[in-house]
Amino acid sequence: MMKQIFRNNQAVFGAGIILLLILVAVFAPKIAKYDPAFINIQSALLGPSLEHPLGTDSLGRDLFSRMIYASRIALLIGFIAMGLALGVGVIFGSLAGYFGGKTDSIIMRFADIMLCFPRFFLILAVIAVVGPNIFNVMVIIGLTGWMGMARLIRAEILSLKTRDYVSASRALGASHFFIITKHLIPNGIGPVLVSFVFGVAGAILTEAALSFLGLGVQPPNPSWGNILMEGKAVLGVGWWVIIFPGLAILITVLAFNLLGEGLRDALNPRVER
Amino acid sequence: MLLTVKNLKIHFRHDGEIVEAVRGIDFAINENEVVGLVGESGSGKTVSALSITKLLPKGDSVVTGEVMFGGKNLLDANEEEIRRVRGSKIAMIFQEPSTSLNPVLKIGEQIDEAILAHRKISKKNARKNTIELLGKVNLNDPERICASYPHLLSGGERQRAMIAMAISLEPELLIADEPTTALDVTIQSEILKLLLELKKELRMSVIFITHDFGIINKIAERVLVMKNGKIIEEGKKEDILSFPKAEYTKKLLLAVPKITIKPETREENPAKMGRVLIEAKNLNKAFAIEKGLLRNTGEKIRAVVNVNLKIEEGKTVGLVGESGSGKTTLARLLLGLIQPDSGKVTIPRRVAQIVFQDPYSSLDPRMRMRDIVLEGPTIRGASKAEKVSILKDVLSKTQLDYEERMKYPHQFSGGQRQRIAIARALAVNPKILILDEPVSSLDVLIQSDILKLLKDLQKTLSLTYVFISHDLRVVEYMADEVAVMYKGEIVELASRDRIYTSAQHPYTRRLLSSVL
Repeated sequence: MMKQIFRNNQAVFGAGIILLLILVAVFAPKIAKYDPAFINIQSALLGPSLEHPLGTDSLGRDLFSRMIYASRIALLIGFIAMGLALGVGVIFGSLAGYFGGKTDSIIMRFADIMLCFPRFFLILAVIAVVGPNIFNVMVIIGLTGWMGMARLIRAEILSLKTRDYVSASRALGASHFFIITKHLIPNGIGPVLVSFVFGVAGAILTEAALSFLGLGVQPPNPSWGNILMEGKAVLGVGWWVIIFPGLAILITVLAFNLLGEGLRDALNPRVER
Repeated sequence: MLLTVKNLKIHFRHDGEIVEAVRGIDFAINENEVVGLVGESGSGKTVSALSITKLLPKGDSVVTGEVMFGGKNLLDANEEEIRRVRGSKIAMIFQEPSTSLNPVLKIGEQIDEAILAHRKISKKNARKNTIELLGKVNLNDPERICASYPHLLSGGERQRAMIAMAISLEPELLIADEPTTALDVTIQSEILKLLLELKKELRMSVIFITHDFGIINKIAERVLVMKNGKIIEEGKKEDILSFPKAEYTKKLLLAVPKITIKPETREENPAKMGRVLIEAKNLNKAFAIEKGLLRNTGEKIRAVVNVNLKIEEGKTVGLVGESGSGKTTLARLLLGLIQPDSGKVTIPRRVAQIVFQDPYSSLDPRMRMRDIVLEGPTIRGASKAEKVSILKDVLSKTQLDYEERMKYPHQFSGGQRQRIAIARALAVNPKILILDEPVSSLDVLIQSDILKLLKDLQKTLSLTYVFISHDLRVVEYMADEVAVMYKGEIVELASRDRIYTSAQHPYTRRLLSSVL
């Protein structure tokens, strides 16, 4: 499978950008020249220059440094929120698929109910109650994003559980837990991982939107979304404050989507290469 | 000469490598003759046949050589010319009738379409023609079949419909690629008879691809034996079957299971009743039929009906029957994988293991061979040292290479995979092995290896076998006692020699008479 992914140019391109982003996020303090929260009113709203590659914002903070620190938040929220969704989705989905009957009905009807609420407004409402901070945003994005993954793994397990190797395992005396974790999930996880990668892109967008509305990452912590929000106020005089975070979001989401599509093609034997 | 093939070579591109599947074969087919093309899987017999009408996927294969048919080299023909030959001059039937028929079109529509594609006649006449054809292939009630979707027909009916479609334009050559392999034995022999009749009536030639010398004996006039992309022997059927020249043909013929018991050689074992290990009493199991949106239709299929069975220690009971007769359900009941609706199975706990038919689906593709074999001991909490010794032990018993323990299932051949499945079962020291068609999907040479291995294992480990099979020849080789299942019931249960020499039940007799 790895071979097929590497043969897919767009997947390699996406993975390359993601790797670069991760390196930037990890080594943020080394790359950034300034403290992202350091305010210097005298150098407010300077255009891109050698001193400030991406210019400064209305409070004179170096935009390049802020963008770099914001990438940490974007990736953190993307991966942790979706990791949570993956965990919940895989547990619920595999229980529903494996046990069937009442367990299946209860879990999947619960998932259907969750899917009835428009996701973004549900997130907004919950944030309004529990208060906006990074941790809450992650948990809420995660807890509202597991349903699709649960459906995917359930469908996989429904067909996998009748395979002969599962019967053989039962004949050997394996417990339900053993069969689910050793046979069913490893064989059925493929499509879920694809959905995970797309989900990360979605989570980064959601975080940006929340922060833009002021309900996500709170200032002075930088996030692409709240840099955008601050940029909106100075749009007429400092185009760079809004263009660069916008581009960052675009490129990141694109990279995850490319990787996701590459993964999907690699997992699907019917796609012609 | 109807068809002459000269120096046919086929190359495939596979994962960047070029593989030579067929390495320069020559053969000819005369008018009105049946030629059997025999070989194991991977010998190149199917791709050779497909290449005759250019049916191989274009991008991945390169075909060179010459296929002369009707004064033309078909390999040089363009798409339009080849299309005119396909169906009308050369027709094909395949192994799996359920996948070669379109599930959303009625049988009649599909055959009409085949006729209308090549002949300029009215739809009404085409339909008349279709109904006539369906009658010709001995289908009862052709009108009903015409108006049915493929899934409503049985496997045998579907294959007959496929044959009707293939002969609809009275082809000069029919290529039949294992057309009976997926069918039950009684239906298989009927289909073979039908093909022979049609050949005579329509004066067509048939290339019959098979791995089964029993079928060759019944249907072919001439035989081509293929191995590794080459024709290694060619001749009249009688010569090949009685005086094979090539070593490989001899080996193949020897490996063909045959029923050898003759009435006079019958040796009745003194009836010393051993310890009964498995006992089934009045077993019943029914499955609900789920259909469409409303799911439960209230109808039930009775898969196992009032089954009583006693199996003695160290013996092999052969469980024979056609598909749908309830053999596999009974096996699962004996193992306790499913619970009976009524009745009782008495079996010592944790001593029965199972080996399945399809070694491709019975091994977890994401586990290493070592982990597959050691699954039982792992579940039972064996220590690391214990596991290593168990692994070495069972691998040597099943003649597998310890050095290959880190490989994944797809890196093994079919026979090796079946050995892995047996090793996995043996790793927990079972007393009973339930063998559910363990050799049906293997080539004959490997089939005989595995059967021999199973016999040896039974002797050295004093195992008790429940041997499920549709192949009476194999059961005769393995079993001490035979139970014949029909529609969920055991209709006859007797010692092997009894069954094969003086079967009582009419169904058993029918089964036996269908054996090739």
